[in-house]
Amino acid sequence: MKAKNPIDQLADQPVQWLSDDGPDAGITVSTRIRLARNLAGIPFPTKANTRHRQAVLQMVREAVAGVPLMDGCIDVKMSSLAELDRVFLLERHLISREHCSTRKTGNSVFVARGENCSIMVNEEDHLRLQVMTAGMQLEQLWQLVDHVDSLLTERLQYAYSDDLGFLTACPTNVGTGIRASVMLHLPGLVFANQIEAITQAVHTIGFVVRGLYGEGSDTAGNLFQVSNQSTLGESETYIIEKLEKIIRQVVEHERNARQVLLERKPKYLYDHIGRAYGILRHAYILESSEALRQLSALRLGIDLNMFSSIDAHTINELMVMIQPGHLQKIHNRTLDENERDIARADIVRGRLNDSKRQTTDEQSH
Amino acid sequence: MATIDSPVHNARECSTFSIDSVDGNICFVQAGRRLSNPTSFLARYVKIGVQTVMYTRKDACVYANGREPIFDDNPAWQGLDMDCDLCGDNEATNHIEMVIDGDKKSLHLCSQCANKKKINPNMFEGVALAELLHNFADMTKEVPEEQPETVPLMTCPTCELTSTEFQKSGLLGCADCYEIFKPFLLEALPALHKGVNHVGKMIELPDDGSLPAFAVKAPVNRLKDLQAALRQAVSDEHYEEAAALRDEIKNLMEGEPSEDGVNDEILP
Ligand SMILES: [Zn+2]
Ligand SMILES: [Zn+2]
Repeated sequence: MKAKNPIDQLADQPVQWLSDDGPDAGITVSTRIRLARNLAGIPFPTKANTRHRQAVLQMVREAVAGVPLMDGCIDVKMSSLAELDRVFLLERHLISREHCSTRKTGNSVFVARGENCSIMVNEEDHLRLQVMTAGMQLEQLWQLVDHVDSLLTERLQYAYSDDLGFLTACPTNVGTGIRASVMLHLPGLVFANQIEAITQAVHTIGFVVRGLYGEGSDTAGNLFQVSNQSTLGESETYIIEKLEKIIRQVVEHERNARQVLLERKPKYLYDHIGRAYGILRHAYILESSEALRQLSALRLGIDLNMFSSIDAHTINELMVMIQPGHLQKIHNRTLDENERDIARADIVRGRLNDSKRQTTDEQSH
Repeated sequence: MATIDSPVHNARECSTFSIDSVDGNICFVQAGRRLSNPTSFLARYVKIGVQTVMYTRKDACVYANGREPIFDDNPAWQGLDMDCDLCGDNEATNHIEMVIDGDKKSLHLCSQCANKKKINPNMFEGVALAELLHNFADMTKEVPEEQPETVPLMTCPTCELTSTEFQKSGLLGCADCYEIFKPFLLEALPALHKGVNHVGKMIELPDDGSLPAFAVKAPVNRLKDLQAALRQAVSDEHYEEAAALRDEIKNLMEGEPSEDGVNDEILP
């Protein structure tokens, strides 16, 4: 009997960390926290030999077994995955770009059934423990990751010193090893040309704003991530509280920017959103950057209550689904660029027409 | 060409750069110059020519010189036809600029070569950037080789990481590296972080300093173990034991030959 590809299980389910109802889901899309950890007495992955790496994986596997959240988790070696599956995990934010491109011994990932937790093994550090959720839920997420981390320490001896905290391969992560980030949808600030000013302001307090996607497409969806940089000299809760304050302010600015647009250029705004809807509903070929741009506009329209039949989750999910790895996973084969553009338009049209049909049904009752 | 008005004379004084992404073009820009896209990167040690430059965050960068940012999107590169500096075949669409020893250097890459060099908005993740800058220094090298090393060569006895490797990758090789490369770190950490001491979640170290059976042993561990034992003995008020431990530590620090002074991997 041939074992089912574990990644297929993920492909069959909606993107959990985007589907849950999160608070403030309009502007804050999702929240992520990751902790960098290494095991005591074993060289970090850059200097570890094959046996070290295997031993790390084995120990982490045993420790993960003691974490209820990870019950029945997906446990895959990167070397056992096809390129397509690795890209899929990357697009799903379950592994990093670095992890996606490596197939060394011991490179592995554990993914919780609900996709709210993943543990990369032998990435830059022995463990990269990550939790994700929809909306902004920093405090809850910190409690969750702290809990999982504490369960792991029952079976793992971390590299740690009283002075420097958790020791990481890169000195930029030493101390708490924490990176907390919130993904924001900021079309208002982009329209108003205020992103740069906000970015600068956030930088002056030691946090960083960056685009979500790779080169070229990085601002197409108007999605930005705000995260901490410093990991030493401040506690996790302090960092999280500070990040939360910053996010609240950015969200407030975004609201104001939208309000100003509504007051000063309502027709311009409605036209922009209406056109986006038209294109997405009726296009048969959609390039990635155009799709992201129009989905962002549509999402703004949903926030402004212009569309009762579509919810923000649908758009969130489409933004993930229209990426190359997902499209190919859905079609279960390699697609060239032209084929992808067609597949992308198909899936967007399908989803939006579904939403439309549902409302029509509801109305006819 | 847009000018950079404050050349880097001293790595400490003006050691920061920012990274920009305008229409997919990346440029490193020296402190005080504006970047129109929200991308910055983390600090790494990178050695360029004879100068060890430390890169740090954009905020530090903007304020390092106490100057307001100058708004300049580097129009010099708009609509330029340039061949890729690496392959020479394709048109360069990625432009990188930085200051090395006071001289402005540029690097122009086609998207293929840029991809190979991992130049993209995600490069602030570090390793790729450090590598790029390292290569960049090689490519634009003008400084004679006989210049003295600014940093003495050091090697971690546990994992055999050298200071050169560390400067190149920005990554440490093992927990003991934190002791070995302390001089580097003492300089780097304050620029990277809000503090130099851990505040936050704590875990208890085992009293016996026990490590996994296949762990790599080194003298540094021995010292650490003794120190941990000493702390424990003092807090338990076992003063005789503490005195013995203190002597042992003293011996070890004064260079008494240690029985496990070799870099022995204890693997089955
Ligand atoms: Zn080239
Ligand atoms: Zn080392």
